[in-house]
Amino acid sequence: MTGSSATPILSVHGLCKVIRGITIVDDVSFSIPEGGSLAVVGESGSGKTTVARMITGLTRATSGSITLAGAERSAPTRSATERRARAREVQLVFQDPYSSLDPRYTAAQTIREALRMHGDEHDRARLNRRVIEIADMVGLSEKQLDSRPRMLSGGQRQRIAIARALAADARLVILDEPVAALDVSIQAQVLNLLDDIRRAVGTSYLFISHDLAVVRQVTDDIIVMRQGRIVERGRTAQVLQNPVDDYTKLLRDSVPQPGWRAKRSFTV
Amino acid sequence: MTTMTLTVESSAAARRRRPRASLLTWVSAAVIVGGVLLAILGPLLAPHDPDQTDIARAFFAPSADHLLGQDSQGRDILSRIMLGARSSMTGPLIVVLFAMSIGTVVALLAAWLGGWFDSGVSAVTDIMFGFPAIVLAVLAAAVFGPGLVGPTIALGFAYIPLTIRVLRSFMIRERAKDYVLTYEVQGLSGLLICARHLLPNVWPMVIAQGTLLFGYAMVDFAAISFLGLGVQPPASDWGVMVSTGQRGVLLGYPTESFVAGACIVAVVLAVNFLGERISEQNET
Amino acid sequence: MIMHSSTGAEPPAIQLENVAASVRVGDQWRAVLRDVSFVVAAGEALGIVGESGSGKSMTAKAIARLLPGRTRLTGTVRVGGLDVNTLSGRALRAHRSRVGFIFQDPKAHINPVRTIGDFMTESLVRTAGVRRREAMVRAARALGGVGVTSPERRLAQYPHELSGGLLQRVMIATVLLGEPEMILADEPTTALDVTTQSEVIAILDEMRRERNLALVFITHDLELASTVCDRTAVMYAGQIVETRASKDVHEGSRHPYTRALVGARPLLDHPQERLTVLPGRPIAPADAPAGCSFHTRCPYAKESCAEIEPELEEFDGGTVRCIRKHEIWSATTAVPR
Repeated sequence: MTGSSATPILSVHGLCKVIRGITIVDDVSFSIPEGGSLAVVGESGSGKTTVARMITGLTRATSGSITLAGAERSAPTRSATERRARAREVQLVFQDPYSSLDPRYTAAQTIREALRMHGDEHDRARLNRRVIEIADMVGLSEKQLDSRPRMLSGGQRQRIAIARALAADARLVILDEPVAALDVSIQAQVLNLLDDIRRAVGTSYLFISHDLAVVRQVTDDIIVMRQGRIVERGRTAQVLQNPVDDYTKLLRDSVPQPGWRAKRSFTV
Repeated sequence: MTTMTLTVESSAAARRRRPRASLLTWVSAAVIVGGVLLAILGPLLAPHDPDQTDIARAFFAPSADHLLGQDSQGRDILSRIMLGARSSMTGPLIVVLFAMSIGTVVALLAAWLGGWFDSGVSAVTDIMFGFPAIVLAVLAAAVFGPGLVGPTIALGFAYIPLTIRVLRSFMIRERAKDYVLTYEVQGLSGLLICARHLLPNVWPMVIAQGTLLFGYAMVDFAAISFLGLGVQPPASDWGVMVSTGQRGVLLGYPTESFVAGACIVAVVLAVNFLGERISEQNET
Repeated sequence: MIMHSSTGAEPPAIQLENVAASVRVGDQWRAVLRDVSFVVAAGEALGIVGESGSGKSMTAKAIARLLPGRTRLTGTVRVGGLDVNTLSGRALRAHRSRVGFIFQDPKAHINPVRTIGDFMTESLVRTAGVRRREAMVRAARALGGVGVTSPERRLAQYPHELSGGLLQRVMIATVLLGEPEMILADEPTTALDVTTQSEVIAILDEMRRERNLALVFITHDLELASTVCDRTAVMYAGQIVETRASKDVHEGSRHPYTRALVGARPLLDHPQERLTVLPGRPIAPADAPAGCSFHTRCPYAKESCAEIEPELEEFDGGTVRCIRKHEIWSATTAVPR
């Protein structure tokens, strides 16, 4: 996508998903450079979440190839060992910050478990130090570390989810609408955090969102999906400023901005 | 996208909000503890030999010596009630433990593996539902003869499809939650996910279901004994006592049936109530 | 603090004065609204913006008298000149039909086992005594008005067969069938795709103008409120902290919380290096600190802010609840961020 000679962290080619005769994802190809941030924008039914599931190995692609960190990863993971290996390459942060955490685990326990699974660290003291390090990076206080999700706000829970992704030391983090369920003032905190982490650790992002303004803020590149297909792609700034495709234009024109007036355009 | 509209309370506030154990909880607990004590220590605590007959004093009213009176054979009702706790509660307990263990494991597997396994399980449970408990009990009585063994085995199997069906729906719902998916992606083995994350989160449901089942089992056992298929007279079993006390009811001496029946009801209610409270407390 | 000149003797469509409400939770009363006052004239659109716990939904419910079971309300809520809390029986039902309420999730408010047609015509047939056939005709016409093609077919369908956007159009059409005098929309587009949102907003706007209805539009999206409504009110911890003409909100808002909301939202055209971030998170009305409810997160807070409870006062073309407003805004010439 953007001229980068190094191996992209993720390269997807001709990805398709067909369920019961219905094409959910149709010939999707894109790549993300190391340390890059790609937005996948689309509305419901666009297939963006299915793409994410195929990349993480939760769903089998009907056809197409997926290459993660230079390694072929087109087939879904079969064993726990395979999944563990892939987990070090790609992690998933979900939209709903509540159901993505085990309600019985404190934040510290969740992070510690992720560390134990993906690290070689078994020494208790060192594990705990790392937990605190990561918690610091995502802005969780000690009190919050010892709390269960029920006691925490949406923003704090999302921080735990991000911390968990960090604990796995993944090269690529797929974020599926990570801030959609958060209050505006908290959204800003989490978006800044994501930015900071990318700068500090060099993680790459695949950022799925319907929110164009958010995407503009945190991503370098963008692909726009509609009904399973990519209709436009390019640098985020460029595409959102001067969209070429009609659908992208429609998306852009639907975003409330100062001076915007909603116009009726279609019947259903 | 939905904005969270709930405002999270501080933990102190949440604690204040949770209702303290009510009188009913204490009463239920007392009933169960009492029942268990009787089951264990019954023979030692009983004031009289439960099998000691005294025809001359048949149907005598409660007296200082016989606090609940005497039955049609002149036996001390109180002693028989105390001894009866053992057989009346042991059978259901075994049934519940048996059906719940199998049911939980099968439901968990069905929820986790999904696909053809789940369909297979559903088909098999549907078939099993076709055999009601009483029919199986009759069969068991024919095979094993009278006593506790037959009904226990019969009910144990009869309850499996019920537990599978109920638990499976809870487990499926939990399994679909994002955090389980996350652990899958992380590379945690299915076994570990089920044991460490899935099961602990559906445990309250399992307990609630178990207590409900215990109640059903007690009543079913009593019914089976009442029909003469299970424990036989002159054993002191609450179900049997309800049955043999029928003559007394017709003659105007309802104490035996009444007290035995009341004991059954009391234990069933107490267990159900406590089961509900336990699962409520564990609700996240 | 009424900033809209009323013309003649016509009472404003909606008028709230110092409304406060508490809800019984367990054995305690928890404040959900602390001080809400505003006026909406007929044909006017007011946007109410707030985050979790701000009380925006509660305000709408107070107007429609849909507050949860055990609620204590003080202050006055007037709709069409009538004090809403004194109504009962037939007058209350008349009030409820005068106020059209559009909920966030249409699926949760339509009976899934009845057809769309049944849902839309129920109120007409039952309370207004309209004959079923006539009611169906009106319903079909209403559906056409909100851009639904083949309305007769839709009337025979069940809710689960329709998409979220379509259902929301049905909700709007249903509400309009009742010939309301005003519409309360509680996050009506939050669950919808952005293109569908745009469409639904346009429909709402058009219908409102056509019928000269008052509109109270509740949302967490400041930009959405400002572009859809004539005026915007911002709520925090159960109070209104600022009201202003929508066109002035982006550059001309004067309450630190509003400024923070404006700064926290990424802009499509001008991305910033870093978004302005407020520490902490939104507070529930019941947990509000002493003094100004916002002072714990406010970048301009001084000692006096923890002691004095500010009132909502006129300032710079709108109203602001802040004791330091004169200091903050005379000290700087540019808009502080």
